[in-house]
Amino acid sequence: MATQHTKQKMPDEPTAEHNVLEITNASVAFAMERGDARVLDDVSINVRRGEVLGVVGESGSGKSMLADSMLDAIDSPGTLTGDVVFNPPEGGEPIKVNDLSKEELRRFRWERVSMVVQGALDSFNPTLSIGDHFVETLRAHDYDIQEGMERARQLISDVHLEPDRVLDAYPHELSGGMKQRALIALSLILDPDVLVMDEPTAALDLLMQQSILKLLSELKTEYDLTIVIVTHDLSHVARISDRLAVMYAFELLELGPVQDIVMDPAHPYTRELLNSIPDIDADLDEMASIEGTSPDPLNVPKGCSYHTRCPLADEQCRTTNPDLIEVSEDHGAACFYTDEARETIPLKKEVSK
Amino acid sequence: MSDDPLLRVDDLSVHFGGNNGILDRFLGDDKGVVRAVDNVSLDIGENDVVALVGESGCGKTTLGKAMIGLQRPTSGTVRFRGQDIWKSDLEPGDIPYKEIRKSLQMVHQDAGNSLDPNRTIFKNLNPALKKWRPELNLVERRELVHQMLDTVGLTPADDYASRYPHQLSGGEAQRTVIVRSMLLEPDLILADEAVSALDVSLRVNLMDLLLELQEMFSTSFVFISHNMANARYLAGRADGRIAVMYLGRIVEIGPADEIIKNPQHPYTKSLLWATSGLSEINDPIETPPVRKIDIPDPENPPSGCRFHTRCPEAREYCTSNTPDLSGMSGPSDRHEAACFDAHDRIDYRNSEPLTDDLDIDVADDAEQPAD
Repeated sequence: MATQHTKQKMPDEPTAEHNVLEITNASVAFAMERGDARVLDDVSINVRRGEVLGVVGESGSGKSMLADSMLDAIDSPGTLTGDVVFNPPEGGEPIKVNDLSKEELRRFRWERVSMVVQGALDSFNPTLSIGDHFVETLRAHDYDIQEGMERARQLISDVHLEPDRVLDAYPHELSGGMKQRALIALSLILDPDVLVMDEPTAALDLLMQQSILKLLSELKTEYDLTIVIVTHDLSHVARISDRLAVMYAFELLELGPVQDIVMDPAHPYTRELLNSIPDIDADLDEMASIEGTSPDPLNVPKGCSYHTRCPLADEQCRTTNPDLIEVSEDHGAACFYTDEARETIPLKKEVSK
Repeated sequence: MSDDPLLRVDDLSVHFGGNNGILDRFLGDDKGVVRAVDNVSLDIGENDVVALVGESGCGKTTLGKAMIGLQRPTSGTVRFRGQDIWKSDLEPGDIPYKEIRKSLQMVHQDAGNSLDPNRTIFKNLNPALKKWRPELNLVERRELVHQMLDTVGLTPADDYASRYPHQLSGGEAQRTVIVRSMLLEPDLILADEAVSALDVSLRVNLMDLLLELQEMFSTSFVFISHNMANARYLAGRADGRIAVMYLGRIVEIGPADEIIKNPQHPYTKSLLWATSGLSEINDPIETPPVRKIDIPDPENPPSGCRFHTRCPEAREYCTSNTPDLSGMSGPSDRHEAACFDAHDRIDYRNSEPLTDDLDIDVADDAEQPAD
């Protein structure tokens, strides 16, 4: 407990030019019969220009809501409060995303921030060819079709597909992996600055998943992208990400460079989560699940939301919700007992070495 | 009978679709036929654990279903303790079909949807018991169900027994479905992607439960997964085997540890590449160890070794010759691979390497149907 007072709250991150998106105190609530369901709870996070940010959490942790907030794409009747600000790379006035009019938002999406949603395999209209999707998108945003289709062909080759064949194909004629790649190409057609992907590879085979991550890292360099990847599987995005954000019960629990998060995480949840992942290199005896289940959005525990499952929880954790505090440079965790967590919850050997 | 394994799959093939018109049959035209499982042989012993691993569409679920008698094979046999499970005219001494059916159970991929939403958990579990254990009365059945719910950690059992499926979490629903299959005390359970739908933090827990039950009831398990890490955990703990499937065939099979640490088939290696552990996070993602990332059209699989269109080691010889599964000279005599390179075949060595490095055009030509 003594340590907590000496620690600083996470300092505000570098200036606007470093942050392409600044999310401050974002909350999302859905009114339900049983009460208000808070599916994103006061999350502040900045997305830095040119980084790959991995947002990791289990189902029902609010990670998709965080992704949707970045484009103000929360489905009605959900309501987003807080601020989402986009800093244009060319300079100029920051854009407050959640104040945009419907028309402005329509332009903002695709041109500024583009999204590949979960269940992307069903994102194509089955009655249109893949090429029609590109044309339709270009037309809706008043882009030059011919020029745009040149770019489309380039993008399609970039994702290892054959433009002639794919543009004329209907969605059902492509395999899952091909569709996913075509969708990634489509999402980049208007040259967005940020690509937000919600479980971009979840329905695909491992070999395809890994290949797509490889493609993404190539695309990122080529098109100067900032990428946010939301996923339930930490081990998958660890290698492509620069920073990881760990979410639990609709809150941000830990945020930091990927090396820190994987090799020296400070939050008990992150540590236990890492130990529970069936890892191919780890010793079989050292894997263990986390006891208990994630909380219900209508009934999130008071205090620290992880206290019901945390081996370190005490009275303070049950009553007070810890802020994200800095545990080392650029690495924050929302826990009162980060030092104790590191001592009492050892990581699997393979990871910590 | 004592020499027969619990289940013996012999040269099994399952083909789907195709133009089965009489003319096609005369012309031997099997265009449009998907060879979901093609000439697979596999033995499952008592108390055995086998993890079938492969990408979607490789035939692992079809093979599993054919093994437990849910899918009639096109050719080949499945023998349960020496008896063909599709044998129709039973002789005295044969195991009745009903008995076989009961001995081979399945846990489906989507647990939530395999429970009747309008019935409580007890009423979901009761019919199977009523049918197969007619000697039990309602009180005894209820007791048995409670006991099993207890065993899998669904406590208090009477509370869970009276819940409806929508009141269960994903993990709880999965446990319930496992209970349903265990109630019949089967000899073999086919678990189809039983943990894939669960949160990462709960997977190990459920796999531990499966292993506990396996030990407790001496049941054999066939565990279908697309995830090498899960397969390795389950098969590794139970001292079982991993079988890797590609386009309808088993390309490599062996003890879990051997497959993970000493893979022989290039396809197995590529799957392991895709399952990189957390210890490698500092390395950038490498280029996939395959020449082409898409799976060929299963209606028109490549000739010879089916992996030759993607295999980094493929040579001319692989395009026309099909490798069979055969033993590796290694620490384990149970380790088999179907690859000319792994066996260092001289004809293979002497032929030209195939080169079309991630070149889409060349690879697509090979895949394009002839018409």
